[in-house]
Amino acid sequence: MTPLVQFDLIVIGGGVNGTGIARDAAMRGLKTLMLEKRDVASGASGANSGMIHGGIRYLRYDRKVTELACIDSGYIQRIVPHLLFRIPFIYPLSSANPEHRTAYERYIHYGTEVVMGVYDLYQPYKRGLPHVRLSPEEVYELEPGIRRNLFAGLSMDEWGIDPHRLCALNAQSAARHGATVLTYHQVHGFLRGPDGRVQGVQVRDARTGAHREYRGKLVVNVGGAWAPKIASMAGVTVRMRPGKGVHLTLDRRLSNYGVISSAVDGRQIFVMPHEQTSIIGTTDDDYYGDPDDLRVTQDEVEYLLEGIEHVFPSIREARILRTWAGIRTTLYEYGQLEDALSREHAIYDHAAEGAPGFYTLLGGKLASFRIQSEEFTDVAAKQLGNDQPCRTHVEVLPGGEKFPDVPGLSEAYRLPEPIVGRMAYRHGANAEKICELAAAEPSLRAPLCRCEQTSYAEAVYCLREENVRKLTDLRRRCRVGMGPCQGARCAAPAAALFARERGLSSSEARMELLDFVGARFKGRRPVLDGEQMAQEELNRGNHFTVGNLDGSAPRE
Amino acid sequence: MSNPHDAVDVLVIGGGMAGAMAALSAARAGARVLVARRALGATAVSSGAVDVAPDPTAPPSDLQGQRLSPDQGAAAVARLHPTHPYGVLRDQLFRLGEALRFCASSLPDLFDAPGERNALLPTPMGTVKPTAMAQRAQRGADVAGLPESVLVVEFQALPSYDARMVAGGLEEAARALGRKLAAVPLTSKYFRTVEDPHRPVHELAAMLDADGAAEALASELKPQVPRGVQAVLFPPVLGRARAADVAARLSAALGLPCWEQLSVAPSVPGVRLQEALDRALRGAGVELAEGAVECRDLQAGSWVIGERPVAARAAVLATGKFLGGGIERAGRFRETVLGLPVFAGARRVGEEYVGDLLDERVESDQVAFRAGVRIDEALRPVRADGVPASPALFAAGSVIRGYDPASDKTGLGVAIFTGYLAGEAAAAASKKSQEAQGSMRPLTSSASS
Repeated sequence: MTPLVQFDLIVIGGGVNGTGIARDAAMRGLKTLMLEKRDVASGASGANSGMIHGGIRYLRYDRKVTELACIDSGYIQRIVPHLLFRIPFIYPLSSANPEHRTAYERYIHYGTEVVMGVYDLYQPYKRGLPHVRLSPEEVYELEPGIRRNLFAGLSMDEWGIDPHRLCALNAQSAARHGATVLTYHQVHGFLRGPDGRVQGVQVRDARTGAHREYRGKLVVNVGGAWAPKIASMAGVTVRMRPGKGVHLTLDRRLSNYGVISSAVDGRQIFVMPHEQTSIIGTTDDDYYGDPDDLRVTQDEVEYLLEGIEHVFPSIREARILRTWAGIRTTLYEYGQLEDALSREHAIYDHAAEGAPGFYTLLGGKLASFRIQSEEFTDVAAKQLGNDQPCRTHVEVLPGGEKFPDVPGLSEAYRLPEPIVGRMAYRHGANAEKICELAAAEPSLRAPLCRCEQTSYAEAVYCLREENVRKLTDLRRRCRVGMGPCQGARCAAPAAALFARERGLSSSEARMELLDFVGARFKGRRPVLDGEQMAQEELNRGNHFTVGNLDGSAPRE
Repeated sequence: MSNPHDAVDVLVIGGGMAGAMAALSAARAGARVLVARRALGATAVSSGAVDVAPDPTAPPSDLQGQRLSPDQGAAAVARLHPTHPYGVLRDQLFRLGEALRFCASSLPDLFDAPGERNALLPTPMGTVKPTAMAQRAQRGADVAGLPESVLVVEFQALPSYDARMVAGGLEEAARALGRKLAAVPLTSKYFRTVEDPHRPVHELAAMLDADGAAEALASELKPQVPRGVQAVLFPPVLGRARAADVAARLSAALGLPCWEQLSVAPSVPGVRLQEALDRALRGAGVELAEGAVECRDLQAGSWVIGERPVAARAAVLATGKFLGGGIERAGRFRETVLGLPVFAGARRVGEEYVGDLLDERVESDQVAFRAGVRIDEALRPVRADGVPASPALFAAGSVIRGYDPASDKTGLGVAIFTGYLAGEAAAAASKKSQEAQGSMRPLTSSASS
């Protein structure tokens, strides 16, 4: 048996809260261990709308959540400026007869504008602009694809983010401050003291199958959708109201702005440009199934398309790449509609249930992850007698020091500007290190993923510096395989590169490749149609007809 | 209009492997043939080698089992899958070898007659693939026949072809066959320039076509070739127009046999194959027309290609699947030229949820990708009631339902086999209608002018 390692704090879960707590705790000097059963951001933290939004929706139910989200969203912008991008939204107000609006339509118009007026009060926290009233003609000019039945439009300012990178950067920063970050490590039991005190965890390394134990003075469960299951292993109960949220990804930026629409049940949904794609979101339905087996159904896809078609008639001709789903870990309430559930977070101390030393942080929002993490770390620090202040809102995440001069780098290293541009977006100040890699090894200058403008150099940088344990992790670091070709061209070269960097055998590389290709396909399956059918035939041709990944490959 | 081509015996729609085989076999039977196509299809992005059938019953790890004869493989597929074209046409399966030989002799620049057994050819993904008939530049790379010491070359200008992956895969495959084989990777900087470190495959191939290019590459490589190496394997860029020539010249200059691995898309060997097909078509006097095809009256044989009306006594539908454009799914499955009913597996498909026709595991046999038109034993596409749409309409290649080249690896084999038979059948149908009509009626209304 390997000797036990003693930590101050063990964090179970590598989502935005887990990586956020690990960073905060490590920065305060706590000896911290973060355990994640897959990759960082592989649950809801990576399957959300990719927005640091203030949550105007929550103003109707919970003004405090909106305020907190706006304040924290301002801090997030400060610590990771390169990873945020502005997404202005248009809220189109339509009528069957725009000349003679009904009283209800007027009520919706003025009501929405009142809510936006309140939201404007919080916008300055996150460098958001106040809303603007638009005439129908102005809306049509800004967004020509919108259905011509408007009597007015309203604008609203929000921010997008790459949530995978946000988590990865938090984990990286935590590790730089001394935390131990172990992905693909699954907790399967707890070490208990004589009084029931939780003193550590039993862990299985998912890749080697090896078992280990780690001791910790405190253990916090931030397992998201898996939190109730983790809690039950410690004999305590955590209740939540899991809500499934489904998104669709389109092959390109379909609109100039985010556009809000109402679904058939009156819920607000949206289509928005996001990085190189557009995203349609989202559903919110109670989910009682296994969080490890989350599937998108035909109904959910149709619900979203029908809702968007309402304002964006051409959506049926759009090329849908894939679907994805996540589980909102909303706090338990009985008798409320899904939308009306609070996005408030809560910290549970399980001491009273006979598990002292064990905590759960549940709920909350991506936009306020930092303050949620801070709140918990305050509790932990106090318990552990640590009086260091939180610095996660002032100290930047890796790469956040300075936004690089993109044209300058492009010229100095003779790399195409779009490649350097995406590099700078994802890596901020570290883009220069990637350029240096490319200068030292000219073959790395080539593009690996043409759809997402990812160079070999960027992928190599991620493989070396960003804790990529499996090939599928690489797409969360630098979007390899996420574009329209869905890996038809880049998946196999990425697998070969991964094998080269890690010294894997050819058959090990093929397992990683098949795993990557298979994971991508699951999201395409529910929406395969039109042009994407032809793309899929090409994809299958490369990997199976030619590559024979399913066939004669000897598995060693 | 008095263009003599406005009246033809056989109209072939689609110019990939299936369409070209249909046109060539119809022309051989004496028919006047017109091939109409919109653009390049799946053949041009294929590996360039012809899969007929691996043993569908052999486990994936049994490489020896994959090395059976293509005839046996096809017969096994026919037994296991009655809806596969080999199954539907099982009574004519004895003519498969004849079809393959016809293809090889029509494309003398690329192919020799098919081998006795499937070759196991290296792919860029580190696997080997059972293949019945490979291009001359590819066939020597059969892992069952390669010498014991192989050099695998990669180009720095072509990072998507990784020599380590291929070398490791070759050694694994050789071990599975109980063979001794050592494969060493080597990176060549030959094509590299500082400004543009990577080049598309088609550009590299064109560069190697140039006079003296193969010799220059060989002299750059020669000092780097380790002692004892007995054969050299290259990425699939050994010339576009003069493939066999480039491989042979490299071999001569290096003093070692040189081969290329199979290609993924975009594919130089695929384009090479398509261009060889086009040459064969022209050589056989087949006219090639580009443009969208529309059917005015199927029973009367009245068609429009682009703007041009064409009368055809018989027609072959060889339009491919989703990639070729013969079948599409835009909300529902549709055969694009004639609106024929589409079948997948045993049932007709239309508007159902696509997810129901797709297994969650990407590597599974996917029913949605077996979609196509149903044919009878005479290769005639049938209507929903099972009756042939026309006595003079035939289908060939992946527009036919029941096979998925990705999972059953019968892609170009089916294209050749069905193309060969469909062309012959179309020529016969055309002759029959000509005899029935005698010389009483002009071929087209426009021909009377």
